[in-house]
Amino acid sequence: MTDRETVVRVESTCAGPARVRLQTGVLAPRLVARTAATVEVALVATTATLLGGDHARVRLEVSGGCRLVVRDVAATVAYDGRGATALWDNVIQVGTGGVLVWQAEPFIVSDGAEVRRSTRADVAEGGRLLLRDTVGIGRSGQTGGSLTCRTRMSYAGTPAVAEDLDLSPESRALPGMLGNARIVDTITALGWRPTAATDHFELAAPGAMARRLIRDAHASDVDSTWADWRSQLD
Amino acid sequence: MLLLGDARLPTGGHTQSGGLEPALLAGMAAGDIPAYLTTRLRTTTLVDAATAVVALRTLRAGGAVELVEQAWAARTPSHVVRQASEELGRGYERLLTRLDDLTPRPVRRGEPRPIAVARLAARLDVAATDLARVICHDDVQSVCAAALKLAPLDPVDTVAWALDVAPLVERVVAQVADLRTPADIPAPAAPAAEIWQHAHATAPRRLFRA
Amino acid sequence: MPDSPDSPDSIHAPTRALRLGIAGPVGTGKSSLIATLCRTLADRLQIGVVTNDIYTDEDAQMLRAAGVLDPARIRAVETGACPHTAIRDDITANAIAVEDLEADFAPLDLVLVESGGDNLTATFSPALVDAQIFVLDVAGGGDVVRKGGPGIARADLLVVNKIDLAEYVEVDHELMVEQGRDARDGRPVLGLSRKRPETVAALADWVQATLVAHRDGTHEPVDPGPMAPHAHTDGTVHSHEHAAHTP
Repeated sequence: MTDRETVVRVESTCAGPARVRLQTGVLAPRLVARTAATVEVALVATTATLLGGDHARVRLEVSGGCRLVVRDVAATVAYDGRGATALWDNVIQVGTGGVLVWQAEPFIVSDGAEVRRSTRADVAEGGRLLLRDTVGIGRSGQTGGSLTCRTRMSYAGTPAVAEDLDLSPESRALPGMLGNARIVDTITALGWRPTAATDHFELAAPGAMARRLIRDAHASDVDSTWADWRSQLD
Repeated sequence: MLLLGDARLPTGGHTQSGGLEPALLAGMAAGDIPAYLTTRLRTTTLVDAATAVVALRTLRAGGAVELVEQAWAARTPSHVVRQASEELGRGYERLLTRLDDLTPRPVRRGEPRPIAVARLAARLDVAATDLARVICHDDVQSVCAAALKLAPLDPVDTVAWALDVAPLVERVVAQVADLRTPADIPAPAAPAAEIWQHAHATAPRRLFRA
Repeated sequence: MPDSPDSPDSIHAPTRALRLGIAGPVGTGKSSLIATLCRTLADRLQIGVVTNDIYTDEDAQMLRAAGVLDPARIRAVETGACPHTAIRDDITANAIAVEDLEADFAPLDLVLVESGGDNLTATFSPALVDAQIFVLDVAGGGDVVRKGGPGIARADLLVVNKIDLAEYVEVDHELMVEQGRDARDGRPVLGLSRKRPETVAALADWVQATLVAHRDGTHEPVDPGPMAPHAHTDGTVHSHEHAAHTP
């Protein structure tokens, strides 16, 4: 059991490459590449995540003029908690003119796992965020445990996305929650409006959300949307 | 309050199915309609009822309703779903301009339904709990009335459904009754229903706006 | 007296078009009449169209496909399978669509509102339209005019459509028009075929004359009403409003 925070903080310096601060928690950040303005970090699991009683905390911060690209090395599996809840909190801050891209790998909730996740993202005016979040209920052949996801995102101090997703077995059985899907695959863009398409949501704040509900992770066609929106940040 | 809850209130309610038509077009079984009412009340309807109550308190205190609208919009990511609610809101605002005996004027940009209804409630001195109940009742009845057009049913069945969810309506009312600030508004989501409703804008053969 | 189009505090000013409703049973040619009007008047008038098809968009798509009007000027309104309600008891969605068209394409001269095909009793609320045309066709049978109804009796114009088909369905269209005049206390009746230019011209002339009257304030919206006023045994005289549909 651990609750040390994983931190990736990127700040611009007047001259030379961006300053990077890394701190290891449940995930260990590994610097993959660094140029004057762009930092690329991989998040690597340090233990068998995620177990009952764990409290994973991830903080990603990027200040003005810098670009942080984060990727996960592998999917995260939440294992049978044997009655104990696991917590996972993400905190994301993007400063004015900063760019943060996080292509998270799937988060899978096994039978017996009970997980509460939260994601808080605050993007300052002129900052941009692109986030991929994929949650799956049950490993192959399982019915899966219980998951709640609380998401609060703001842009320029204004609420942009607020969502409490209750994917407990009782809630997700209701019609209109998951249909017959077991994976919720979501891409959120904040701070700019990706090219419009009929199959994604345009947020009231500058931003968009593309979401697919699927049975099989390999069947998600949201990859092309990711590639498209990703290219719009370059 | 009885007027606000009446399906005959001329605000365009008959054009709405509470997301039921999109759900059935997406393949939801007609047998799931009663459970779908529970989904609505636990998610979208709860958000709307809470938004309405916070908007009512904000209006009475002379506060900024824009902040309430932002909170609602953050909980309603699909622009299609927001537009449908704003069109309904325009219907209520049309009615309100008449009540205020102002020169009736076209309402260009609608506020979302819960805020428009809250404005009417403020005008008519409706209590917060009654407002929440009206929002729930209107939503339940939109689904039930639309169900009669969309599925082979005896109309008395839908009345029984509405009565079956009455305890849940009271739970929603209790849950939102004391909310005051935009951040208090709960944000429960029904992802599949949201996607179904979003797709309705491009559905080829539809009876209902949303 | 209706609001004159340029009174500054009017709901209708200053972009207020003539709002013309087109009602009548299914299949009598309402959409085709609208297409004909657009084709004939588009170079003279700024026109917008609102359709109310049962399944949204069918009529709107037909009109867009006909290429008679900029597709953006054709709006479809869903009525939740209540076409009668949408033009009478709760005009909200249609009124908003009309107001939007008038604002988006100001100034418009004419907005045509097509009701979803309904039976003989459906008429527009005068709060939604300034004038209305009720459309029958010869294929509906020669006796339909005699059956009457508020639209037939009191719409601003009764059109007997598809008169070119009369001989094939063994209907005397001239007699239909004649009976229409009798049923309408002299209000205008027009035999129409889009294949007969002189009838199309007569229709266009009627619309233009109504527009002129609307603009100079001499046209007064008339409610055909759902039912004629009648006396009760208690001596009161009134007309019944049709009970509102549950949506």
